[in-house]
Amino acid sequence: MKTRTYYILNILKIAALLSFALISLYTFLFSVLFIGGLIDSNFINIGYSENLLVDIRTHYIWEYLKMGILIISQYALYTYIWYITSNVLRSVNLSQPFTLKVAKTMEKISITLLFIWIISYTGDKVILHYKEEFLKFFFSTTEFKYLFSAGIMYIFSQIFKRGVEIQTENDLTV
Amino acid sequence: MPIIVNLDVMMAKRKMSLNELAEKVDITLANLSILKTGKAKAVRFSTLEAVCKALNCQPGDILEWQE
Repeated sequence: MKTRTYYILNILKIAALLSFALISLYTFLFSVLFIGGLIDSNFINIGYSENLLVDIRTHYIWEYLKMGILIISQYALYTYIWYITSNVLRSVNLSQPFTLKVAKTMEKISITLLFIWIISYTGDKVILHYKEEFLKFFFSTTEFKYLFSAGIMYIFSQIFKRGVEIQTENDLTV
Repeated sequence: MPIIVNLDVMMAKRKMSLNELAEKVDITLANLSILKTGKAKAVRFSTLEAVCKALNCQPGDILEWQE
């Protein structure tokens, strides 16, 4: 029977794939701009009209390098989250969704979110003295939202794991 | 788990193969194998009844408690 959840999950499959494609493209474009900006500061003018990156690149090359690496790492982790999410949504068997693979993916997402929080926190500390608006634009750790999401995701992954255990026990009822 | 399944002993006593018993009890060979090897976490009364009927024995002949 095709339930409402079945249709929602099918829509989410497409949404996750689309998000993965968009964030991959964004990460790639940002990396190109960042590397191009290292060679020539005018290069980043193309992508950022706010001139924040241009300012930093012109006056503080090391700050620019540190920030660029942190931002790329952060977006790479976002890409990874969408990659594993779309992968698991495509491979999940909707008639039997409680599998160890899904539980492990949820655990992986929570760990990745924790890494994103670490990167954001480092970003805060590294460039705290520079520009407030830049911080708000790229890193927003003051609310601890990534740490919170990581914690919630981890709790759900553990509940899901218990679900897998119960299903296994149920399957072993003869 | 301290509950031991003596299905293989009873099958040997009745000279019945796993295939034959699976057919009589009407459960899959895989499930019967799970039961025989002691991997089962639970047994339904209906299954136990069918096994007892097929082997002409009591539940106590199949299940045994050990400390």
